[in-house]
Amino acid sequence: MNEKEKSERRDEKPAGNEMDITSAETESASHTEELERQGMSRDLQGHIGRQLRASFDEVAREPIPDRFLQLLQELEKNGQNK
Amino acid sequence: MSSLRAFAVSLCGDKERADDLVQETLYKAWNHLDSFREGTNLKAWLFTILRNTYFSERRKRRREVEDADGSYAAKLSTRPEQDGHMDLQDFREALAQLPDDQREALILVGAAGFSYEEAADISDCAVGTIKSRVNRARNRLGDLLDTKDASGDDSTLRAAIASAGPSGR
Repeated sequence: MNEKEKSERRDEKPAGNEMDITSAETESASHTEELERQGMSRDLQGHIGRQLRASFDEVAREPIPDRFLQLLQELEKNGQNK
Repeated sequence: MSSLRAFAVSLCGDKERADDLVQETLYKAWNHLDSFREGTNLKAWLFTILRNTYFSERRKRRREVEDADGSYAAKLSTRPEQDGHMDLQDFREALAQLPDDQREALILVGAAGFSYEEAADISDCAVGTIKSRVNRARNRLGDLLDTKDASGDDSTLRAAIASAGPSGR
């Protein structure tokens, strides 16, 4: 997601959302610690995270099948015209 | 678009089916453009349509073949559908062993780049539910992959998966 989408996302939310963003970051740090207490090493957590992204990105980097491209272009065009 | 497709593949573990899902998602989006609110997140909207399509098909299929015990997921994971790197194959097999809701939460937050709040919107559940699903998914994957790493033997992972799964298969 790009920064523009993120800021649009924030704009539509009710006031006080800035707090959510801050707490989400804190949450992530405490989440790591929580998993560590449960006996999962940082190495293993990192390994899972990397494998997850690698698996996802491998597909994401593949060229988009032609049959979708045209459909998507029409979709985006109409989305903007609304 | 490419991440929508990657989401579909990660979710169902089968590229051919994933592409059908993406196509259906785009058609649905096209037909329901009027329900898309301008200025909202197009990516999240498409992800929502895709996962709703996937889960409703999954429920239908599950009723048809009485697959409530997850044997469908196990079958998927053993099929050599993925043509990627071998080192990712074990991970994908482990990922396919997770319950649908946990796998979805982990992919949305861990790979697709959504916040917990956005993932909760997409999955239509509470933020706390997403956090707990991601947590359980990581723990389960950790168990599966740890067993694999400790042994260096693929059969051990399979045995671990089999014993962790439902009995009577």
